[in-house]
Amino acid sequence: MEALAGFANGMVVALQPLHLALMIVGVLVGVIAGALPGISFVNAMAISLPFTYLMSPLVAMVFLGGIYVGGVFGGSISSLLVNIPGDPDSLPSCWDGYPITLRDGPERSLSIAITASAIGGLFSAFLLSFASPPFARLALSFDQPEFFAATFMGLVSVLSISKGNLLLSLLSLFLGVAIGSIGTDPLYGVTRLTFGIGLLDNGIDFVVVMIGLFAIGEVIDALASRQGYDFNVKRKGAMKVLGLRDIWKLRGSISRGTGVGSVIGIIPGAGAAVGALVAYGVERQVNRRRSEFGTGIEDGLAAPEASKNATTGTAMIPLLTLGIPGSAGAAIMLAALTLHGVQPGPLLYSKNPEMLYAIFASFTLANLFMVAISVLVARAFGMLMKTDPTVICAFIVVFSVVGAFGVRNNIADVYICLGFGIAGFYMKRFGFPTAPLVLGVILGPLAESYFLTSMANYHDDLSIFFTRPRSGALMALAFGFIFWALAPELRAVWRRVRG
Amino acid sequence: MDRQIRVRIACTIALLAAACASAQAQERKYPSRPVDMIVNFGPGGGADQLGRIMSKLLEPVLGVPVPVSNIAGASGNAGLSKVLGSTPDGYTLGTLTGLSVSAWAGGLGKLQIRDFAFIAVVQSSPSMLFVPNDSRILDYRRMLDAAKANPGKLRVATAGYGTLDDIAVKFLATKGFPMVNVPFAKPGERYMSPLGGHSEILFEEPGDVVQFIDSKQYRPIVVFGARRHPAFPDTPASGEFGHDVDLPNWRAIVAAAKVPADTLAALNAAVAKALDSPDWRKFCGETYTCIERKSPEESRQFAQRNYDDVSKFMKDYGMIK
Amino acid sequence: MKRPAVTELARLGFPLAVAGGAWLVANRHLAPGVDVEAIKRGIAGPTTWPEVILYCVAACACAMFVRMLFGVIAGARAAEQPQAENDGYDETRLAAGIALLICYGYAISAIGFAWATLLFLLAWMVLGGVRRPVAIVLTSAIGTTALLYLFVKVSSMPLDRGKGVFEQATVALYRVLGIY
Repeated sequence: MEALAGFANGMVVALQPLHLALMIVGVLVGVIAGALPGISFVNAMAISLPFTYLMSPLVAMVFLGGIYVGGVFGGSISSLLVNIPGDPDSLPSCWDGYPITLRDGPERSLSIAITASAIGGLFSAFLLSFASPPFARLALSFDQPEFFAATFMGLVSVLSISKGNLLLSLLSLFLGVAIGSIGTDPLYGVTRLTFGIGLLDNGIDFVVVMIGLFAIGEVIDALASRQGYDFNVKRKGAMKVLGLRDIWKLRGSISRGTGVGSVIGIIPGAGAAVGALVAYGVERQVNRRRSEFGTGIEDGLAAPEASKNATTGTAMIPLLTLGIPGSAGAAIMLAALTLHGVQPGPLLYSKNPEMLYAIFASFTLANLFMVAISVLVARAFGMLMKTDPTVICAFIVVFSVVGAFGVRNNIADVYICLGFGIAGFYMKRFGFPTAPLVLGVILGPLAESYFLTSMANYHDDLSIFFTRPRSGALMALAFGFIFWALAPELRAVWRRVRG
Repeated sequence: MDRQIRVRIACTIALLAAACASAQAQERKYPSRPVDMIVNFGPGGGADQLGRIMSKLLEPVLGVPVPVSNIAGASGNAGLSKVLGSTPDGYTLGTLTGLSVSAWAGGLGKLQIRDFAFIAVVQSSPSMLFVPNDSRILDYRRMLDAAKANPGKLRVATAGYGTLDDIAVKFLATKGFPMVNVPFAKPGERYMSPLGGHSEILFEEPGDVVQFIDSKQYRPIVVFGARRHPAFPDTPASGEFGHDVDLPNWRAIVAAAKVPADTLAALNAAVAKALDSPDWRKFCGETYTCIERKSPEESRQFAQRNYDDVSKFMKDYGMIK
Repeated sequence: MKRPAVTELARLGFPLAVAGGAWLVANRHLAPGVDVEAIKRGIAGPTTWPEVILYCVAACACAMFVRMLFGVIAGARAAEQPQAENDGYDETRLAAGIALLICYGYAISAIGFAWATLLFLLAWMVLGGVRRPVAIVLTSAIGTTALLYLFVKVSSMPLDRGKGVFEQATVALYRVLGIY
């Protein structure tokens, strides 16, 4: 009851004109930055940090929270309209989302995405508002073996995105993990696999790889393609929030996605991209129509969409209740708070609950406003796509370059991004799968550091991943998926051997 | 159509030429354009706080914007390389931390103290051991007893191998108190581990865990060094137990060594002014990092001494050859 | 009939090359000059992870090779076929585009982001076959200016200003535009 009253008071504060206005500006900035291929919302948040000096801590949080919520969705707009993920977390949305766009028009795919994201985000915001303390306890009960097991689940989901050729997908995944391990290792500080090239010392960030493979690669394809290229997809109907009947049809995937995302959000270092990937993988394993995934199955779009926005609220829980940032976005909010001399953590609850509840309420509102703002931005984006594709491509290249640079303000990342762009084009041309590679680059470094720390913490006992209950359950699930996915292949081999 | 373009191009060139001329004229006074502040770690950490506060305080003094950019990677070396790689004209400053210098001592990268002009070492923080508030380890004495009774049972959450944290753990092992170093890739994970009961002890500087100290989630049990820290009068110094190991993490504002002397002087004066401001006093007080004012030369010597100390420890403990 | 045979051989060469490459890197280039065994704690050292992964790469590639050789699984061949032999790309334009991207990357550090972007936009549009010169020049100039305001003025990103005389030219341009 106390929480409800606090939330109501928070809502009053969040609805004050200044707070509301900056939240809306934040969501708008986030959606646009997310939608621009190359520019990620984390970029936008880091860039906005100096502007928050001028604001009160609450306003700063409301503003950054808006960018965060909007940005996590925004990437899907370009995923669905032009098949180029605007942000890493929108990559899985391309796989079933873009086929829906082609078949039923962008209105349908965008409607599903926006609705699923908003439901996931709202649920997560409610968890943040009313279930922070138990979730914080849950977060603390997880240790490195659990993180490793969750990451392993994510890696296993590659089996679900392989289209026919499992070995080739596995090869691509392992190559991705190897690429992710280039550079200085996380615990010893030894540089590896750099071949003496100094530019590689800092390693290869997955955002840079993704921008290269998908944005630059696509642009090269468009330029060299003979039959002409058009980013302008035909509209078929109007964009709207899904009706209850449609939502009911997608209830399974949306609730699974929301659940997966809510839990992954509290894992430090994981975030929206991992949430979306794991949700897609899980959906692909448990959905009734799993064999048709990749051809435009609506559940295959709804699950990752719900999941990635469901990470936003719960990622704030460790930050606000414990003072521990759960994602790159949350780390920037921590920076904003500490700059104002506000120390997040349990003290915030006792000392300044009004501010906390205002942040909760604002997060909830941001998920609602995200719907309207996304529709507007998607419209504008659709309009922009009517210009000459050559001009669009030219600007996509520049945005990609700036985005790659902005990841760490490092020119090496621009070279790496362009390199992966060229490689990406040829991979696409020769039918080498790119998605598992990106998955490997995203999850590989996480898996390595979780593994090494687990080993250090548990006296080099490899069985720890299976004997700790939560981690063991996750591992069992992962191995179940592996056998499930391999079954048809094994059966074929068996038949062959016998016959 | 063609003529139109030609006229336009001619206009542009003329404009640029004029601009160049005026730019040349303006270039004499320093600073006449924004000064970049490069933070060699990501947003949210101690170096980031320093860079951003310093930028805020320097802007009114220098009269130009001082935009902050985070260039993280390779234990801070990536950002420092950027400082060295830019034109040495005083328009690029950087943060340098003891963390990076110990990484150099450990053999990472090719950067050296003498590559940098030290504007000032502005912060120095002691290293401490913390335990969760409800831990059964009541104090340092009991921690040592437990370590001795169960060799390799106590786990210390640290920032990695080959770091100050690692030196501390190895130092205690040589004194007969073996504990396990559990390195974490991200600070957030490190803070969670002892809180969740997955390890027992946290190695950290107090400024980075203020929120946990204030909210009574962590309590300090020892400060490494000869003397107690004024902000923690009840926390014993390791020196009181005969453990003479001082592992400060310090932070400095630096530029490339080749920056002209008069520009450096201007920067020194500006930073000195910033350090006098009440905002700075408040900041360093809250992060337990206030130190006496150091001149550029003193700063350089301080850094060099720290490098030598760390190298010696690493050699003693076989971490480097 | 000859071509398919040649491409078939070339395709068999791909997994072999990957396997060989991975093996070589795992054995020679993990972390040359670092005594990994000396600094390793416990079972996992700094190079353990990449080493294991590279062997996984090699194993996968070998398995692929074997499967391609024997065609163990019927029907898998079709999935492995590259999309088309002549897949409708304009090779000259492709080469020019790739060259242009590489030049752009190099130019950003050499002559600075501002000038490099202006030149890149001009060149890309010419290459892409935009016909009207006025449109090209205007789009590039206005586009570059807008991007500079957005990224340098508003976002104050430390984008490269170029080396030597180009740095002065960039600073001069920023002054004209009122960014500095």
